[in-house]
Amino acid sequence: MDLFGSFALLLAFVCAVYAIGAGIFGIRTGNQALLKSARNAGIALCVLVMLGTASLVYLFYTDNFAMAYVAEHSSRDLPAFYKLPALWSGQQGSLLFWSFLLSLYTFFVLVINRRKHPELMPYVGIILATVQGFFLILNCFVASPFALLGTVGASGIPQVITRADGNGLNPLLQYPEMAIHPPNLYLGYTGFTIPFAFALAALLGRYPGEKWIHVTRRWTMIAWGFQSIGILLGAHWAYAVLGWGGYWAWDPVENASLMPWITGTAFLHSVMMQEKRGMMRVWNIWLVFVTFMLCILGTFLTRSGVVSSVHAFAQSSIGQWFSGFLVFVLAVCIIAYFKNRDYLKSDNQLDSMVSRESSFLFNNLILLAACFAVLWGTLFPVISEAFTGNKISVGPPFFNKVNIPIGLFLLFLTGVGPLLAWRRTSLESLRRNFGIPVVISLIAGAVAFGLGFRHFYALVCLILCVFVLLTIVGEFVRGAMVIRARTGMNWLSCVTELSMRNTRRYGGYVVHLGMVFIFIGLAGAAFNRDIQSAMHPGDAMVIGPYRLFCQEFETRQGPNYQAERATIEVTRDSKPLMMLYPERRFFATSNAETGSMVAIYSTFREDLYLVYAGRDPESGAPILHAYLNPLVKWIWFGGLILGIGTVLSILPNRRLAIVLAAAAQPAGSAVAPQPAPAVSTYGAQD
Amino acid sequence: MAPRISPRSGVAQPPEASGLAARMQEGAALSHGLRIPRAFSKDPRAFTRAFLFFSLVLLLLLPATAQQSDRAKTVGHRMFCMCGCKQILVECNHVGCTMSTSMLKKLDAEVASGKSDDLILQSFVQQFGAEVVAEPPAKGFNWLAWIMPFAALGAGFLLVRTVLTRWTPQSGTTPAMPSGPGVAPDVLARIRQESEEDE
Repeated sequence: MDLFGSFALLLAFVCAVYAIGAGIFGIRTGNQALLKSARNAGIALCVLVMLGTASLVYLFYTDNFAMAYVAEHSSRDLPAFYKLPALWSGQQGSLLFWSFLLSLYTFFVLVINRRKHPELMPYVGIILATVQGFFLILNCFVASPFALLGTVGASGIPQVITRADGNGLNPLLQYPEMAIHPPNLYLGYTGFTIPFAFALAALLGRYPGEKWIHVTRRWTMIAWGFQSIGILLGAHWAYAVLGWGGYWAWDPVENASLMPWITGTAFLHSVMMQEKRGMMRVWNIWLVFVTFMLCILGTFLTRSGVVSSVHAFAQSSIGQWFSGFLVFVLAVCIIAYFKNRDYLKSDNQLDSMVSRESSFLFNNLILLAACFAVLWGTLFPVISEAFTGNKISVGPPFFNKVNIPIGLFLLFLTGVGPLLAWRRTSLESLRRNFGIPVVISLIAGAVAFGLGFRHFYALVCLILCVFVLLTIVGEFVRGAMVIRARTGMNWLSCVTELSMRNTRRYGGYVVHLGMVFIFIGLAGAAFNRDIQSAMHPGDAMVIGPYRLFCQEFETRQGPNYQAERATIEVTRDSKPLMMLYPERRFFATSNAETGSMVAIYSTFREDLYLVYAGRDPESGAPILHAYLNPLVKWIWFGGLILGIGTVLSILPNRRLAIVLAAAAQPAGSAVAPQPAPAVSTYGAQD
Repeated sequence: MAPRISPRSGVAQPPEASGLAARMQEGAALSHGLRIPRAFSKDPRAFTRAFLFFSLVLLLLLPATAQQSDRAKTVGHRMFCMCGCKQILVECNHVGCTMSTSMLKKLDAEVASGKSDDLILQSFVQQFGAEVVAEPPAKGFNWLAWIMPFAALGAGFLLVRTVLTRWTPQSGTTPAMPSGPGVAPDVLARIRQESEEDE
């Protein structure tokens, strides 16, 4: 099976080279048969990569410890559930997993569009095959996951050896979320390849208009949605597993995932300017290019050892490949742009400074400033060392000081932007849309201040969250009122109907709602508290309104670990609340590594977060660390809402579906369904 | 604001009985264990004055105690643990991490000695190097770290303002038309139709 996997990847690489060559030659000669052959080669390479990945999964599940990668990241006692996540737990496997996910995207793009967009698809096929080809070079020749464990025998002939057991999976990765966090994040990273391919194809093919945007809107939303959920799942994993009481540490790997998400968000907003007004064509093309390049840059930063990270793989020469590919992509983008920029001339015309268009410009500015701040902070240690020769650190204090004000301004624009009309917004409209939210949010701020809520940023965040929340709710209420007046449906049905008529617009509002909840959760960090203490059975400690009484410590045997578990009785205001069981696990096959299972009592008000940190090496006393983290649950709840909003915005509009269904019915058949009445009270449709 | 507890100096309460029995013991101590001094029983106002005095002393002392704990935590959040874990000093959760334990002891001592935050950081830099500080020092070349994000934002604002001014037509001017290469009307019509189908 190891040979099968290697062979499948090699064959896939050959297919990629053929798809590129045949595609270029087909475009130059106009040979349709060759173009079709190139497309089929692209589809074949996807299937081959999938087969290669499946073979590695098979090797994990059959405990084939002749394979270096399997021996390094798995063991016989590793639960079956974790043998799949073991696939992406190391460098070689994660690169193959990247190729696999890109293959999924490429396969569906090539198959779905096989009879569409004849001007664009040959270019798209070449670009996707080139990106695939790069990763296949890594999979086949630089970091192959199918390398065998071997030794040189007495006769000088290499011999394959099979180990009795493997090293096992890193304990930190033996957590259910690790089965879904990396796939989500990678689906985000790889997904941005699709809009990149279409944007570059439109530029290379000198294809005018907004077609590439229409084609890729849903693909971009899918990639963005996966990236968002992936980032939040990663944050939740860090919160629940690493046991330091937080969820975001501004580590370079975390920053690497955040940067393309930010530029992708900017693109999703500014693309509406191009669709509605034919504006910012150059800007949008470059936003997509930059988003894709940031995906590659992040991988380069964390795999090259240029910046040190808790999560990074060991420093290796693979970073040079990524830097080379990055330079190649940048060169292609610059050349393509300068050769064909005449085709990107926009109708840049604003009717008023106070309009949706100008809010989008500021939105893009703030998002890019946030992205730059993150990139700058991540790279600054390297820059400083290069210029001064001294090593310095750039950690959470820097990122928080720089990004919190930027983030709050962005939150403000989240409330303002959607309520401004395209082209021009009148003073009366501003007063009508913003009057009540502004007054109520200021009152909320004053009440919070009066109640002792004195942290400046947290107070500003609260005011802005109330403001944005009210503007969003106001939009839904206004639209639902119109439908209710015409149809007499109940409020819930009206809101559902409203959302389904313009899924993109109202899906966007739901995403904004999710972001508001996330900001509420982030603001809670200003009031975190913690206490750490040695605790024997019978001891107690108090944090906030909670009293933690230690009942006992026990050891128990897990499938591949031994755990020491504390039993903590939690009372609140002298009333029994619940039992918490934080534990520390000791893994026998992983170089005696340990992992912690945090016990969390989570409510929308606060999280009681309890870590059994281990035993004091001097006294042998068990040490428990308790945190009281307010509002954290709102972050995960906001992520859920954000995911729902993303799905909603991808769905087709109900009205369009009815019209299409009506059009598809033969003449003289049953009465066609009546299209729902249009809602016309609010500004231009998104 | 409720007083915060230093992460490593939190002291466990002594072993005690759990639940109702413990609370009953506390109640008994309150009702029978306290004796009112004779001076207070003679002059009730003396009790009020003494109460107010001790309240005032407590009010003066409590913030000072809380501030010290807060300071240790605040300064500790500005430093990394130097064991290589890349965690903020007061967030390092490695039990037995000799580095964070000794660093926190040093931090507590420095805070107790009444040094300013900058002096405390300076003493850590002398011992562990500049990498111990979790944010770039705002001096020399490292000023750039702080200036650049906001300079970029400011430049961006100017750029957006310029762009908006240029794109907003002045009164009496006619809107500019896109000046890209000419595209045949039938091609444009087909593209529009295809785009609508895609949407």
